[in-house]
Amino acid sequence: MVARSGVSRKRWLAACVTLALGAAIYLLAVDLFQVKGLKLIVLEKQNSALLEKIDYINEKTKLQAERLEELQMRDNTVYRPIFGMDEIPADVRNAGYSFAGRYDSLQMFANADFLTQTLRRQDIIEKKTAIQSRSFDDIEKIATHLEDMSRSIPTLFPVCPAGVNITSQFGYRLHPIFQSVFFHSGTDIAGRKGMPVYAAADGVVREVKSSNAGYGNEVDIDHGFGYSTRYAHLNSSTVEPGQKVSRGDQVGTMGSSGRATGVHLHYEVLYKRQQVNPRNFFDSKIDPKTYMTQVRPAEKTSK
Amino acid sequence: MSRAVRNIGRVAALLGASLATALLIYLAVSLVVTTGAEKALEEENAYLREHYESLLERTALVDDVLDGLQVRDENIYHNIFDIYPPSAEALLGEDQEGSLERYYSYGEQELVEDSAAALETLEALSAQVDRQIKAITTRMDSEEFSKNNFPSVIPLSNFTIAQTGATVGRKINPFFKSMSVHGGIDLMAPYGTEVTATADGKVVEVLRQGSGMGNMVIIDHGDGLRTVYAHLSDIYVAINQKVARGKVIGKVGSSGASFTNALHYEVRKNGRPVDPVNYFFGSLSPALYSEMLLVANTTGQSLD
Repeated sequence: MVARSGVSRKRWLAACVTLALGAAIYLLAVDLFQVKGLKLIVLEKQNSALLEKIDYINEKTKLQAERLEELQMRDNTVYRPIFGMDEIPADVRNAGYSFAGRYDSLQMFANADFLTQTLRRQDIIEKKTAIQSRSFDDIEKIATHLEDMSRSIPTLFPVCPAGVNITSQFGYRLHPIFQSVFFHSGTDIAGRKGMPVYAAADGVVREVKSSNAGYGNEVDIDHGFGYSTRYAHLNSSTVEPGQKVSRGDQVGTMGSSGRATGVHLHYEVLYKRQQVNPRNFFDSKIDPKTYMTQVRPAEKTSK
Repeated sequence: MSRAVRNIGRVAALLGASLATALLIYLAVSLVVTTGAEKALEEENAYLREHYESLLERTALVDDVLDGLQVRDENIYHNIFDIYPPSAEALLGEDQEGSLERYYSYGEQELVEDSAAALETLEALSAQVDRQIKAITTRMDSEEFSKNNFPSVIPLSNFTIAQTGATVGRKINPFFKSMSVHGGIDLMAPYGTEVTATADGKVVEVLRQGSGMGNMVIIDHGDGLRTVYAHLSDIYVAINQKVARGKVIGKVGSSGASFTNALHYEVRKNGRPVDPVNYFFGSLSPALYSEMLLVANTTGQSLD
């Protein structure tokens, strides 16, 4: 009995020591050597695999951004200049990406920065692609009417070249009234009062002004593709705002209304709202007979 | 003695059992207890898994939209120019992307054979390039090239690729919006920027006019090479004057039928215009040359 209880006590002691030692080894491993839990090891493996997958998306988005950049470049530097459309400014292309608070829920994660960056990049490429898509909508609309473009460029000399003189060119000139150097924003064509003035290209009449000051009676035509023309100091106008005109349709008659020293047409060509030299567009040496076949004086103009 | 052995055995058994117990505790704790770190990671993984799927879908969608945009871009370009847009690969004869894809399906044997064949070709090519470089250096040392009479630089200083306009070829005339032949390259620069002679030579033509090419200078460099500088705002040289490379001959302007301030620069070989970009090697690194070549050829509208 004593012997048995002695043996039993020994075994009991051995079991206790084993357990205590085991627990000690366990605690030592966890606390001192930072041995990770089985579950944590598995989760970390899964986590790095997932992050790798997401990083692949990240790389893909970067490539997409490069592709998009090439399209944007062509849009801004090739198509828009040709069609006289304003470039889409970089701040518009990149605007509206504040996304404030959108990624706050990610802050709880260890990889918050990486995830925020990935999601943000994705959001941005989606927005930019949408903007590019809308831009192409606009360009396609114009590109399908490409044949209209050559008819919309102000290439017709606005009056019959017989009996007229170009008296002042575009550029810095001496002012006939003030006798000081000023910038002359158009071409002055002197002729007789009542001479017909013709539209230089197809377009829509944007404005018809009557005035005794400045440009006097004036007709503005919007030709599209960035171009517009202005016919000033008219004696009278034969068109109304909103009216569609073709190249060669009469728009008015020559006069000296407004601030003018004599009967002449002040003719301006504007590209993107900026005056440009009209002489680069028209041919003033055209044979008057040929010229008359290209125009339609007011009585023949169908309204 | 045998008692000592028995004791060592006992201690060893005890230690072994302790280790086993530690392992058991570790397993039990791992299975039963979930620590804070594990919980956070579990949540993150769930979030990642969910968002990976959605990101994958979104990326695929963007890819589709981009494919669509690219087709539209090509159609617009074709609509305007009757040709498809030039690509960097087409211009430079390079297969830049996707060239490695076919190797993915190769076995080791095929890879080795293919690499060996590629290496052989490369060695032959490099020997050829070596011969050519030797021939070039020999010629460069000759008297012909000791003079600076080859127009190998850009006629503007502080030039950046962004200033590149349309080069030689059929381009859209900005005034009439019709296709016309462009005989030079447009180099955009602010009004008044100094224009320099690209090589030694003699001024053979100075024109001051308000139409066409505007104020213009032509320099003859000998060997059938001439350079043309047009739309200048000011001219500082006279006819028959001898000029050296780098001499300021005028200033950038917009005289004549020019759409905006820019230098229209031409290189003419035996009277025929050649692409000036191919002559800019004295100013450009190979990478910048490729970039400029692409921009100059892609730009569809000239400035004069």
